[in-house]
Amino acid sequence: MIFFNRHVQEIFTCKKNQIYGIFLSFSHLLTAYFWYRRDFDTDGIVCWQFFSNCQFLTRHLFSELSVDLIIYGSLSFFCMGLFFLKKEKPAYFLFLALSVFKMIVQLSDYRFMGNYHYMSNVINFVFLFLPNKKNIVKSFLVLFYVAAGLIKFNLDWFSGAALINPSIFSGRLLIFSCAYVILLELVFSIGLLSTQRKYFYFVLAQVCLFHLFSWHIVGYFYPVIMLSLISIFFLSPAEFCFPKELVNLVAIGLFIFAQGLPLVLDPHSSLTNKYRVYALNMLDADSECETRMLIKKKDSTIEYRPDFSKIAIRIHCDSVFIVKKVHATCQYFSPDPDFTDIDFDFQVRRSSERNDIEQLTYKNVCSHPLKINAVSGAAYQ
Amino acid sequence: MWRWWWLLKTLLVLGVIQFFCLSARTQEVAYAANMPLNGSEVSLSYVDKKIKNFRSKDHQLVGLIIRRSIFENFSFRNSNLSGSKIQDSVFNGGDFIGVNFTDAFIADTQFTNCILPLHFKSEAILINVKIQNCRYQ
Repeated sequence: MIFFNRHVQEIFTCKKNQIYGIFLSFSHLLTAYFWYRRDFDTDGIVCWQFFSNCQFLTRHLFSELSVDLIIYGSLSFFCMGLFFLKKEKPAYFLFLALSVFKMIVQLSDYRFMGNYHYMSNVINFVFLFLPNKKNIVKSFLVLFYVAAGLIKFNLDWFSGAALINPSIFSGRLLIFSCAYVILLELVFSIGLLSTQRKYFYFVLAQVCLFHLFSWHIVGYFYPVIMLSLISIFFLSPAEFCFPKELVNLVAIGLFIFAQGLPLVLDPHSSLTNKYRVYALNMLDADSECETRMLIKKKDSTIEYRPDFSKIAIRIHCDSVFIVKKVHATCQYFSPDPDFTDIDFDFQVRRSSERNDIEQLTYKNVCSHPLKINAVSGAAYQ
Repeated sequence: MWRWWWLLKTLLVLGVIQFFCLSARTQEVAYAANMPLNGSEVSLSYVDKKIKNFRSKDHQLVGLIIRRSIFENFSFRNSNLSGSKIQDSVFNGGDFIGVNFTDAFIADTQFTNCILPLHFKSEAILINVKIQNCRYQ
């Protein structure tokens, strides 16, 4: 309890932390609304690679998902009130419960993945469990921008091809804007940690404009979540001192390690998803994947090319979807007495490149099922 | 100091105005893209369409392509859909009475509350097709 008391005390002895708690609780409320409005196909549940038995969780969550989300949303609103009224322990523990619930929902289905949840989860737990809260939260927010800038260094991003919806900019203006985003994230964002007010506000204004501008491309949820997270910069402007506590350094180190892993081990991780599941996942590739199954029967072979274009572009070529489809097809044909097996080809490339980045061929995937490596996320037989 | 404040405020006001303009424009585009069509005209290709009240009687729809589309309250009565390719679509409430599905390729598609021809399963090549509350006639 001493551990929790220390954090409760740190939050509520500082007005800025207390108000930031309201903004973070608002991000829960917004998440509840966002999930509530989405029409999740309960048959299409896709487990995360490291949690392949997610069905036991989803069976309970998805059976009453809308009720769960109404309760989650109502409690988030209530939590905002508790932070506002300075009800210290109830606010802290309710916020903890909401953050754990959000994490559980996200882990229950791979389709809940998304940077907005990833970043929000990180900040929630940093705010709850790490000391020197204002400074460590600011450090993580800047790290998000820098990491996001790093993975955008490719032709798909520079050309604007990776955007999920068309921008109002086009041609050279679009290329310039996309390049500027990288500059903003990689270089200027560090100015958010500046104690010089002029430079700080100059960067903060640009970051806010960037999120507001992105609204027409990515929808309302991403910018509003980000504005809630970066509200700490408005609450505590141009104030920063690097958080030198050991636990904070370890947390920063782990985050950098998670981001660096895919960059170092697989330069095409934005296409193959290898080692990327623990890292940020941006609109960094306009990926095209072609999947072909040769369904072998005693006297014929059927060529089947499943279409993954309905799935979000940043994940539609990920192994979890492909392997799930292969398993479902094997299961579908298993009662057919003429059915023998399935051979499977898979290619993935950037839309801006002609060469396939990854070409995989697997034979007889029903009798020798495909599996997914829990760490790398790669499919293997 | 005050100059910076004014600059920040101006940028924020501009940002808010821009947001409302863009939001309205995006909603217009999204609305137009998702509007259900009235199926009075029969075509040979339906991709990313939502169609209500579709009527096709005795039509030659050989090689018809339907992808990522939703048909509600439809009738393909006595039409010829041989060699057609239907993928990632949903057919809810309607009939395929007397339809020829010879060598039709149907994948990842759902049929609900409908009437299918008697030889549907033997005529068409079916992959990951779900059939719920449908009868055969």
